[in-house]
Amino acid sequence: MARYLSKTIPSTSSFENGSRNGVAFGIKEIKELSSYMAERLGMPYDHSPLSFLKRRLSYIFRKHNLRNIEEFKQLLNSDDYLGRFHANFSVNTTEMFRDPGFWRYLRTLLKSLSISDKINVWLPEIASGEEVFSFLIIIDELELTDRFNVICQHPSLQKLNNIKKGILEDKNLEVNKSNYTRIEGQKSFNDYYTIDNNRFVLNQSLVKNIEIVHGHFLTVPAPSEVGIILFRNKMLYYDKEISVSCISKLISSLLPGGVIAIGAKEQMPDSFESGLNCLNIKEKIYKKHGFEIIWENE
Amino acid sequence: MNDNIRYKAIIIGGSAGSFTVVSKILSKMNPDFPIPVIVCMHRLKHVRSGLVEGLNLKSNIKVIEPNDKEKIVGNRIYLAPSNYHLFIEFDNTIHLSTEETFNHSRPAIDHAFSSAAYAYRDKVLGIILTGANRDGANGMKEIHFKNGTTIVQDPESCDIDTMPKAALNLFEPDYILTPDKITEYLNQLSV
Repeated sequence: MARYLSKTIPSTSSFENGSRNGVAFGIKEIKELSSYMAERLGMPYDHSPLSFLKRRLSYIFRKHNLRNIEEFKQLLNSDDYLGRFHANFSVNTTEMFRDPGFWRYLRTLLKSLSISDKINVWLPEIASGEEVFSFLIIIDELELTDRFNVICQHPSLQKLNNIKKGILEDKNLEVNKSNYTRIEGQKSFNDYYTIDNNRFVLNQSLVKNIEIVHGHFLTVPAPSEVGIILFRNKMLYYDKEISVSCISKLISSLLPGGVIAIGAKEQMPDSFESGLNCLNIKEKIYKKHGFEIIWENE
Repeated sequence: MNDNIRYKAIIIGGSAGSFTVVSKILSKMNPDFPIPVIVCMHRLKHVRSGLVEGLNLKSNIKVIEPNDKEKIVGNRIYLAPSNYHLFIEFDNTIHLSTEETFNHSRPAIDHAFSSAAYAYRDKVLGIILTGANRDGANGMKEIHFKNGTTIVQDPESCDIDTMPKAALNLFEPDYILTPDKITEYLNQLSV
């Protein structure tokens, strides 16, 4: 039988406070903080989902023991801190070979690529190495490493330097190995890395073609003549308006016939569908109309 | 005021053993149930398909795994996709995220419940089912503190009662019910 009990516990929700050190984050405060971040940093932080801003801001307030909004603004005014802010605020990729089906499909696609010139691959907002290291292993196994120039871009130089050195911040060895098994790679996953000071370091022969670009991709010129763009699960952290701006900029830099991938649960804005062929709806892989990049089996 | 007007959404969380319970509840719900139902279950992250298909075989109401930014509408069951956290945004849309695991889980039930509490306040009904860890207990407490309605599955009816008992240790829910009684409660909302 149903039991009804009256609510007698006072409302002291930590989620509403947004932080366990007593700083209250209502919608008004989140909007004020995100507007300040956007103005100070010149990046579209004021176009992120409110629930996401709330979590990331709570994390930063806790991490730096901030007691009020003014202390946060002071912190952001320190040039010394800005690089670390980007590192703290951004979301790392979860694991290597996330969505093994995506990597199996991409590998098949790359096998069919007709390459004459070196091809640019662009990862426009890459906070950690998992995605690019997965790509580098795939092209190594296809013996195509020297045919690609891999451009990694992010506002945090600290993050980019780790990627360039082949370092993963979170080892996640078990998950990464398990995913590698699922893509049916050619080697043992252990062949691809060493552990140095308890950190995962990808073999240096694989990272030699990484080029790093510092800055948010919406605020600096895009690389030209890009053949492949990996932009998976990045639009999750922007609203629809900025998502459209992101895709517009990315597709503009993509060569005719080039390929762009977004996250499995993201949606390609309707306005771009007419200029793209969907190659794989489950893995959200799209090809720009045209034939400068040729996929023989497509 | 009629209860079905009171709720903007119903959110259900569960872990070990909860698939059977959720299937049972969905199979007995009225086909024209008007309120959106959001289900967050712990699941294998490398298995992206199968769960939604399995639930659809049983459910009287269409079950989908929503895309990010999808509008939440009535007479629909929203299942949190594997390897994404699910949040409710203030504009009544789904927000998915690949942020860090929480309570060793992604999706984390606490995240989903807490966001529902914040977005819907007293207009949400939270239900926590059988499960082998404590994820979801704090989120249910958030719903309770925001004056939402809370139902905890009767621990005696659970395969593993860790999750319901963790919730019961944090607050006093509005109801402690068996799965059959939960279904009965839900169906009277749509009368």
